[in-house]
Amino acid sequence: MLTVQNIRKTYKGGIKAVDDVSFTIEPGKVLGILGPNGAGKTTTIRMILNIIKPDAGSITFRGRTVDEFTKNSIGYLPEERGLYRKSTIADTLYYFASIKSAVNSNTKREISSWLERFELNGMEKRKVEELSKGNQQKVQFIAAALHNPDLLILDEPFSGLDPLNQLKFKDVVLSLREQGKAIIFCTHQLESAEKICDDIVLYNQGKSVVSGTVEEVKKRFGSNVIRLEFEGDATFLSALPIVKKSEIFPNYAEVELTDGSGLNDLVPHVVSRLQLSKIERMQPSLLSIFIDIVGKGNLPEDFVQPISV
Amino acid sequence: MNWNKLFAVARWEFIEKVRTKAFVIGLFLGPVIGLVFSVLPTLLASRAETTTKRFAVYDETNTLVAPAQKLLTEKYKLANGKPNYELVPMDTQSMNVVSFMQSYAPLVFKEEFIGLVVIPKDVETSRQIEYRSDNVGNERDIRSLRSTLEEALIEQAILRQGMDLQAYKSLSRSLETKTVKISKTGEAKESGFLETFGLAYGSALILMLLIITSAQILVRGLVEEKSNRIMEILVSSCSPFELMMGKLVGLSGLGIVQAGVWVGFGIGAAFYFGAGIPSALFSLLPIAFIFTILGYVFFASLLLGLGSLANTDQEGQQIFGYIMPMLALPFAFLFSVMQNPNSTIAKVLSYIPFTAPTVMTMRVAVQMPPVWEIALSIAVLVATIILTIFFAAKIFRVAILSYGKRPTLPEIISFLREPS
Repeated sequence: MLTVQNIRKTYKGGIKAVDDVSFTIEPGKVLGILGPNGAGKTTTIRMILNIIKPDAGSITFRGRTVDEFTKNSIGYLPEERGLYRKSTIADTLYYFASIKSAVNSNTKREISSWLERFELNGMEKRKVEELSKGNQQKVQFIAAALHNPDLLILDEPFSGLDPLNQLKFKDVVLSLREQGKAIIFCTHQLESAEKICDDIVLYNQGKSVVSGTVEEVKKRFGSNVIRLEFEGDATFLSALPIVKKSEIFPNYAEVELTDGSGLNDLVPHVVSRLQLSKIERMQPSLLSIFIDIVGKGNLPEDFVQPISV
Repeated sequence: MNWNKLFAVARWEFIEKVRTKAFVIGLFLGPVIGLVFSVLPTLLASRAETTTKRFAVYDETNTLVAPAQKLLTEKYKLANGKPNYELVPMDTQSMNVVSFMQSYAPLVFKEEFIGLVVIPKDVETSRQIEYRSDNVGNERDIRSLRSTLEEALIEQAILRQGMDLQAYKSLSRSLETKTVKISKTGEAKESGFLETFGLAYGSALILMLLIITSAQILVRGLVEEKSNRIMEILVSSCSPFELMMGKLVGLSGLGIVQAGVWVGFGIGAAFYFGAGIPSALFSLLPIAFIFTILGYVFFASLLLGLGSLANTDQEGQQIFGYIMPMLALPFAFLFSVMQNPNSTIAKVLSYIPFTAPTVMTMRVAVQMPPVWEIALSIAVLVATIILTIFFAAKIFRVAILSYGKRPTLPEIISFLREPS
């Protein structure tokens, strides 16, 4: 649906905000654009939204180079956000839909049903400034989704939300995915991304350092190490042909398998001989992958430790 | 360019801003300021006085006080029937001028007298009197006194020479000038200085007040959109140019409503106070209106470009501070243009966008310039507006998404150089 190819953007002073980045997103998928602040995420989004033009490369949306017209089919929830404080909720939402050329006879009804969905029923005539911060954020989300866009870009949608509302947002996002919407989820909280995203692009200093499905990425960077907890004698493990390396303790073992073999190959060997209480493949988190790639010493200063969703 | 989006922005700007306090206050403040400036001075000046003002007169001729008092009483009366002025004669036998001054000066401060008058013996030849007071600025009282003494002096001389006093009086009546403005169409219209001045001054004032209120609303709105990052949502929905033009159209709507209300109020007030509107003035209104609107659009597009640079209300005020002197500029030339509407300076000012709307309105009011001059002035304004919009759009496009520090002049120039 959206294809980004080798885009570059250099700002004045020679700062390479985005440097040769490519990715695609398909309907019904959530793509995470991840990375620390200042990595080039927002610049990428602005190029997708045709707010700024890439210096090189191309961005196509349903086969058409992005322009003023494609804006109408994209919804955007910016990272730092606000609304007209003195205006009413319904007026504000109606206005945002109108500048997306998306107003029709159903718009007012749709506003009501969206408000209902976020438990803001009957608040149409309330002024924005009367709402709590969390409720304002819901209105902003509705503003991004009201015109029924095929692609929804959410920049840090969970920041500042309490856990209950985070769940609510996650549900809405996933149900939009069910409906076949493509969603770009932009965040520096790698842990929360892991649970929602189908695909990811990991940014660092304007470059895409890793991309692919979450599983692929984990596999690529994951060590092929299996951890076992059990009762019994596990010394036989080191002699198995699929085991490359092993560390064995009385009730606990870590074995590294040969390339090409996985958890399923190991299980038949151990189920008959050990009383297993736990067996798992040690999976690296996206955060640890990121740290692996850029190196501990190269971590951006403001890279916040993620909190989970 | 998507016109629907442009009008969606215009509609929003108009409807939301028509409800703001700043607009409502501006709507009423305009007429109030107009009333204060036009009616209050007249009211204050004609405020009824109730006490007779007394002059202490040391008349060395000993002949002028009585006839002058008679004339004063005839000419100047208070609303309650009492004489406006009383001349209190001093005894010139028992007191010399110096002791008169010394003993009566304190009474001026006690407000028993408003002033001390000395009429010298040789007044007929020296033609000079002396007036001493703690307030020598009350032109009206001094003038009444002087002209009356003058008249008394002349009457005395006429009587002494045995001439006919009545004949003199009827001969010495002053001339009155009736001013009639002629126009090319041949019809002669009676037109007073006040009406012409009023139209010129009024339209200059309306333009200035319009821009002051709109500038506040405009810049405050832009700052809110920037600081709240609403701007991000806006430009992800429509192009910066659509956004800017939408704002310009919406704002112009506000300006037209405001100007309409004010003019309506002015006409209403004129009829209420029984003045009416001279038909000559009525026919000039459309031209004044066109120039006011063009001037408004010019300043508004200038403000949109420069106002988009502001990140805080304070910076907005600062930017407005640069434009304000340009708005006040025409007032510096008001009298010069009124007195000489076809002078080179008036003509030059008619083609400078900052002064053209006001100066042209003045010229039209005083003496209708050739049609080609009006057309050229409008053409210059329209061309400048298009050019201003072109450059404002270039600044606007970059500035609305740059937060933090306000761009420096070299940076602004680099915005202008960037290709669209």
